[in-house]
Amino acid sequence: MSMPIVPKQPHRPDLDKVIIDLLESIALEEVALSHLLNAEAEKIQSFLCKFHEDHKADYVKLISFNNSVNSTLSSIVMKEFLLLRKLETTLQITDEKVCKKKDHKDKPHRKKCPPLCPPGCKCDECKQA
Amino acid sequence: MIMPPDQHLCESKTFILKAIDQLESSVIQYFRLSEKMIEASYVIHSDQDQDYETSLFKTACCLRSFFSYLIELQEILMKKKTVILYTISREDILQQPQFSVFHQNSIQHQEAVKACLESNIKSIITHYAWFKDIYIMKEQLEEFLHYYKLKKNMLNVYFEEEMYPEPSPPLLNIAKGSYKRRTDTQR
Repeated sequence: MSMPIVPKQPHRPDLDKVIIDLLESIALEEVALSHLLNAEAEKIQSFLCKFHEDHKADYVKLISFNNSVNSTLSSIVMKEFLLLRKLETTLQITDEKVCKKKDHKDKPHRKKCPPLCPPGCKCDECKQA
Repeated sequence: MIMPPDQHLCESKTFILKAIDQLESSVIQYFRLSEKMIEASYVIHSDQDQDYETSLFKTACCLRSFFSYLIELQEILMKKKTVILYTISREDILQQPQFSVFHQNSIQHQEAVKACLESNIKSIITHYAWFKDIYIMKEQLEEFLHYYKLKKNMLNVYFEEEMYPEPSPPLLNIAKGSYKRRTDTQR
């Protein structure tokens, strides 16, 4: 099996942009779900209106309709839960990024250690040691 | 005009809050409709036929799962609100006008949900009080009403302008006598 080759993209977004994009995608999904809920609510309303008008209405119709509404609601609840997890993870990344920035500011820049001398070296530091 | 990333981040969080607001209003619509659904099922069962018990049990089960989905949805929405508000700074919440609008909407929704839950519980008691499965549904709604009141107060804390009391100083500083109370200007 070979590994997939991802083509190089000229404009890769940075972390800030990715976080904002993720948050916006969550918001858009929320809006889409609210539209779905509204459509389902309208369906219930029209069903109830017809149900009251119809004198031969029976409980079988009501139960089957209720079941269909429940299945839609259950899918929406699942999606909502996934969105909650996505939101938490995105905000966690934001927090980590802020903490890293703070740490970088607080820490003083240390000098890099010089490489170790080979055995039998005659430099000044080795002579002193 | 290119926005700075922090401002853009705050804007996208506000966008999510608005979307949650929209979703919450849809859920409230469902709570309102649920009362009509209870009434509809009551209309069918007013004349007692042979399958009366079975049909009542089935409709009660359906309504119960309907309410549990609504409750779950509302709980997730509240969690989301809390998660977002926790990440926004206090100054931003108090100063920016969009958050005050969001708070007002949120209060309206809270009142609507509370009223809907109470009326639902009342109509369940009046229509179905004799049936065992309905009692579970009633308990479920009452439990959620209690939970909702608690969470509602927690959410409102984010929008309050009151200052919190100063945290107690470390005991070691008091023992050494080196602790000085902060003045108002330092605050």
